[in-house]
Amino acid sequence: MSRRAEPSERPDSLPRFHRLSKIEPILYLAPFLVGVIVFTLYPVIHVVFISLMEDYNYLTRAFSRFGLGNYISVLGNKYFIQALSNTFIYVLLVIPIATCIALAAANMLNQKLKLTGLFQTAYFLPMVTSVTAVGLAWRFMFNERIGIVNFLLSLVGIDPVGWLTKAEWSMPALVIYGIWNILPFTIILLLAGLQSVNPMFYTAARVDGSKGARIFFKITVPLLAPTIMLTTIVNTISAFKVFNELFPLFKGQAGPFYNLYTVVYFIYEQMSGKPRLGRAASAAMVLFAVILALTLIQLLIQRRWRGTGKG
Amino acid sequence: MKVELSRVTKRFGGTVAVDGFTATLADGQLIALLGPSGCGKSTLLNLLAGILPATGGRIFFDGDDVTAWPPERRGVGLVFQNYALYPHMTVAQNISFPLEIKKVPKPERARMIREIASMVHVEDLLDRRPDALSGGQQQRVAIARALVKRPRLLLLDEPLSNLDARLRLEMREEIRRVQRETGVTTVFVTHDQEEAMSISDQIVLMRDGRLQQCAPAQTLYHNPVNRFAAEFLGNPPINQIPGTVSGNRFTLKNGGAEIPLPFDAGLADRPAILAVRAESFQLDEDGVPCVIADMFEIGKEEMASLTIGGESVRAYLPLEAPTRKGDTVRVRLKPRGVFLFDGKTGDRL
Ligand SMILES: Nc1ncnc2c1ncn2[C@@H]1O[C@H](COP(=O)(O)OP(=O)(O)O)[C@@H](O)[C@H]1O
Ligand SMILES: [Mg+2]
Repeated sequence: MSRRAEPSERPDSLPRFHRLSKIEPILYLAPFLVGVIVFTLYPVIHVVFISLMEDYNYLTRAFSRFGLGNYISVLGNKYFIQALSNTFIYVLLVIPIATCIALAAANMLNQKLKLTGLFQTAYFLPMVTSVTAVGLAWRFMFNERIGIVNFLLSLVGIDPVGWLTKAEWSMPALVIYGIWNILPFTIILLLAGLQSVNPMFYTAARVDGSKGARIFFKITVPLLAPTIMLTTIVNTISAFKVFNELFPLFKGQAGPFYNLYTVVYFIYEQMSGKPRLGRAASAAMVLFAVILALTLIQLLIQRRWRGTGKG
Repeated sequence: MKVELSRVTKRFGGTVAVDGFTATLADGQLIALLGPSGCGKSTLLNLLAGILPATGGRIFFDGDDVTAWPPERRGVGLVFQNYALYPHMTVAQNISFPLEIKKVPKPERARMIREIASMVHVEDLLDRRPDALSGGQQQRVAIARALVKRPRLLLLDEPLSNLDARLRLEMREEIRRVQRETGVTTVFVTHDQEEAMSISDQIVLMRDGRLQQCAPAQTLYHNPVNRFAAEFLGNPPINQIPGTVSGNRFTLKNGGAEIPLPFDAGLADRPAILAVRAESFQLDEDGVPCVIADMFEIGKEEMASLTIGGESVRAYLPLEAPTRKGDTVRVRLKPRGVFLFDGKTGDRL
């Protein structure tokens, strides 16, 4: 109440200083805002427009028609549909598996075991190494004849697998590499989440009669739900943009027989050779819409979790 | 259930948190585990719950050696200082949690939850989350969760210290009532001597990991085994005067006065600490002269700060109207509440 009364007590003829103090924060923000507008906001809006312009020429700014033509063309393109389905498969495999592995690993790292320091370093090493270098390492590891993966499989009597040369194995190879890539980040966040859980809840659960797995699923995971949700959303978004991962594994191709088209690879290809800006932009918009929809769904699920307290 | 502790020891690296603790806790009693902060009360409680393994010694529940038993096997209920209610569960789910583990059938579970919830008066809060409860309500839920599985032993670790003064009094009575109704052997940890005195059948007094005395509150108050026990109980704190005892006379160390004792100590020229409770002074024409340094009323009682031969003491005295600051009065000691302790070891003489 008193706060509402304040402005009326203030005379309108307050010095210029007062008006200046309103602009001041904006002035401080200006350099940053200019950067955001020029390099983030403008391109994003521009893409929306480009996606609506058929046969757009970036240099002459000419286009033949304005409308949904690009979208119709993209959504009718069998390579795009394949890219979309590949991307979905990739996300649906990578995210749950990576989250489960990361959860188990973080839980293990959180125990006060010997060698924990060693394991922590081992897990976090990938975060400070170059994705491409690591990708190349994986290419060697996946090598059909001399790779360590096949060597390990041979120890349990499995014949060599053509990870990078056979169409049916290229997706699993990409998924394994993709999981491996996001693990460190996911583990770090989950570990931080675990370490912020008050140990008294574990004590309470033990006294209540719970043991290992039950405590993990009934106490740890629900208490960690917000962090799990965060990593899931961030990882989902990044997994939908799967593209970089293809280069080291398949020498810049989308799989050994161009069978691993992903949405971003599709966009990339629209831009190589004779650029088709409109189609690339509308494909990007479709990807954006998919990611947005999924993120909203995830947030809704999270709210329902909170609502029921089931965890 | 009867609990026996036999030379129980717990070490954390170099620190000895619990040191050769031997005590017997009688069945069905409410026992206050009392001691200053850091003396090892929580550690001892965790040893009883099985959360911490003992470094040495044995623990028996009704004669069974449970020293190596894990918590889930011991059948204890534990209430934490900050309640430790599972934040992602409702009150009903929190109370239900121990029952689910015991695989109690659902209808039976619902009945038990209702029963215990109404005993601690949280039956209207069953659908709430812990963060929507006040401290007192959370404490009630925590007690319900600990009791619902019918534990053989209920352990409460400073359950009232996060509550404000009035709620603390109220919850104290509640804990007492619930304990009486269920008859469960209960260990109640506190560092507040008044809380311990008002609630318990028996006080276990602890210091630096060692048992000092195990007795009903009144025994502890009127018959402390050592200086620490005498100091720790009672408000205002017991008066302590250094000096020398000979028979039934006590000479102040500074030579300022000689105080007749209400008993014969059977000692000659022995340096000692004379400890006198504030209510153990009484006006007497033939008593020791002392000066009234200050006077104040506490409730309906008159408290006086006296100077006896240079030593100041606090005493409850029925001082009448004309008496004023600076006046001299004569006092003697009542037979009750007067103790002699060794100045170095603190042992009772
Ligand atoms: N997990 C632990 N690791 C090391 N020292 C501990 C641990 N728990 C308690 N201690 C030490 O043991 C002593 C007793 O602690 P505690 O039982 O918590 O005391 P209280 O509950 O009476 O305040 C303290 O000196 C404390 O620092
Ligand atoms: Mg404690």
